[in-house]
Order: sequence, then structure tokens, then C-alpha cells
Amino acid sequence: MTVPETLGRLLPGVGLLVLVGLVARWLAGVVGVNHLVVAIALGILVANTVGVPGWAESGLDTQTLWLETGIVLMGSKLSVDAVLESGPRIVGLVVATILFTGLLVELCTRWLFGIEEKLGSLLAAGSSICGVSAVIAVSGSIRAKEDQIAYAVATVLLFDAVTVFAYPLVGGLLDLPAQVYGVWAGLSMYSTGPVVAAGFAHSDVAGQWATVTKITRNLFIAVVALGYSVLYARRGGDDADASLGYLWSTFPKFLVGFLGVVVLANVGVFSEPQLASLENAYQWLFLVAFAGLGLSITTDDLREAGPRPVGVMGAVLLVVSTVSLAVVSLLFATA
Amino acid sequence: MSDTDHTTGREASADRSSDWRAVGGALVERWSSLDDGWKAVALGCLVLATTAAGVRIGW
Repeated sequence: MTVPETLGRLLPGVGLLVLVGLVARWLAGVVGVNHLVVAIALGILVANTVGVPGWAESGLDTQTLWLETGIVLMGSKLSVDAVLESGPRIVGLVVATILFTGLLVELCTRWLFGIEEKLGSLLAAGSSICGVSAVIAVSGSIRAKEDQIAYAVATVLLFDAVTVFAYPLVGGLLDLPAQVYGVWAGLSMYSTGPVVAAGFAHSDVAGQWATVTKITRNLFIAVVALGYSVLYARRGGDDADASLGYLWSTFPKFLVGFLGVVVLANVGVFSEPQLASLENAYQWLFLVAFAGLGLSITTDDLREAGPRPVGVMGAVLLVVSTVSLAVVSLLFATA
Repeated sequence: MSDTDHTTGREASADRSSDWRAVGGALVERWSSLDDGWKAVALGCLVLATTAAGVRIGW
């Protein structure tokens, strides 16, 4: 495909993302709500009323690229000292949350809700690690069927759509400190995009803690994919893929760029005006990404989630969210 | 200048244009085959370099 053909395919959709983002920014100023939340809400409204035209679909698929590029640049705002100081507590919380959530979903799906084993594993991965990306990663390692993947993805998307609005509301009602709120959202919400959006909807500091906590969770995707591969391979012979190549393919590579930018910023490569410009750049990238996130949420997709997966994920989310908020509040109360 | 020279000039220009199209096509193909995470790293570096240079020259 030539350069003009590629640009012709992508630019209309990217233009729509920018347009929705700009309108959201203006609207946010009028109604006094965070512009990232307005971008998602406006995207959902457009997608479910006028619909997304076919000519825009290729460009809309670039939303993940803008989100991950924004996270790479957000590395410039992170203080290594602050991360190292809270790091051991965050890593401990992340490991505990992954194990607790994963086991809880596995047990509830099998014994309480009678859901198929592989669908249960996909839901466990989606809720404990990183939403849709984890569902896709683990689906390969356990060779899940297409309809199981569709159910799990729809269920995760449904909770992403609800939590991205519910978390900022709860955070505001409980008047949570920025770090407590950010770590809580990063630990208990599902996909990366909604976590970042819900974090920044509270405050910049909360957004940074939410992102750091979430990407720490994302780092465990390869470990969980490997765990499921081994588990299913022991039972089903060729029923899994545990190759190193597959595991590397599940690793979120943008984290390499994020860590690189953290190091560059902390050794003092950038001046204050440069850091301010980078912050402006990643805020715009997030705005465009979240417009795309909203435009990708349609009620048709959400209807695909069956009542039993929604029931189990709802119950687990309530438990994990409550327990993690209590623990995070205790650990970071004086921060 | 003879007709032959004109023809040769047009052919050279067409060749150059074709070369650029081939380079562009190869770049698009390479970019498309990249993992999304590496694309974010590449784009992040581009924005980083542009922003840092832009601020330095007072843009």
C-alpha cells in the first residue's frame, strides 16, 4: 500500500477523533467536567446515535497508539524517587490483587456460576491483569474459541464503560487523596485506557499514580499467560502455547519507551519548559485516545456479554474494589 | 537540447518519482508490520524530539 493510500485510509478516522476531542474540550469548559471523561461520554453518544461511518473505522483503530504514545511521554512527569519510595508497596499490592482477583473469578465462574472453564480463565485474566489485552493474550495461550473470546471481551468492555464514570464519582464522594485514588483505580479497574482516564479525571497526580500502578499490573501479563499455558498444557497436551515467542508477543512493548523517558527525565535531560510542553503533548494524545475509546463502545457489543459473566464479574469487582480501597487507604493514608 | 535529452530527462524524473514511491511503500509496509507497542515508542520518540527541539529554538 502506498503512502497516499495509507493516509487516505487513516486520516478521516483520525480527523473524527480530533474533532470529537476538540468538541469535548470545549464542552468540558462549559459544563465544568473533566475533558477526558467528556471525550469518552461524547464518543459513546456519537457511536450509539449517529454511529461511526465506515470510512472512519481504520482511523479509529489508532486509538491504542495515541494512548500508548501518551503513556510513553507521561514518563517525563514521573519522579523515580517517589516511585521507588512507593514501589515495594505497589508491587506487593499488584501481586496480591492479581492472585486474589484471578482466583476469585476462577472459583466463582466454575463453582458458583457454572461457566465454561476457558471462558472463566479469560474473565479471570481480563479482570486481574489488563482487560481486553489480557483476554486476547491468554486466549492464544489456552486456545480459546472465538465465541468465548467475544463473551469475555464484551464483559470487560461493559465494566470498562461503567467504571470509567463510576470511579471518579466515588473518588469525589469519598474525597479520596490523589495517591490513594490513583493506586486504587490502577489496582482494581480493568483496561488501561479507562484506568488512565478515570485517574486523570480526579487529578494529574492521581492520573500518574493510576497509570504507574496499572502498567505494573500489565507487566505481569506474560507471567499469567505462561501460567495458563502450563496449566492447560499439562491437562490438554497440545491445548496451549507456551513458546517464548508467544510470551514475548504478549509483552506490552510501549513500556520500554515509558521507562526510557522516565530515566531521561530523571537524569535532567529536559528543561522545565520542555517538560511542560511534553505534558501538554500527552494530554492531547490522551484526549484523542479517549474520544476513540468512547467511539468504540457500542450497546450492540455490550449486549454480547451474557448475564452469568456479567454477574460474576460484577460481584468480583465489588469485592476487589472494596477490599483494595480499604488496604490502599491504610497503606497510603499518610502520603 | 535534443528530443533525446528531453526524453532522457523525463525518464530520469519518472525513475526518481518511482524510487520515492517504492521507498514510501516499503516504509508503510515496515510500519504496518511493527507491533503496536513499538509504534508507540517510535511515535513517542518523534514527539519527544520535536517538542524538545521546538522549545529549544523558541517555537
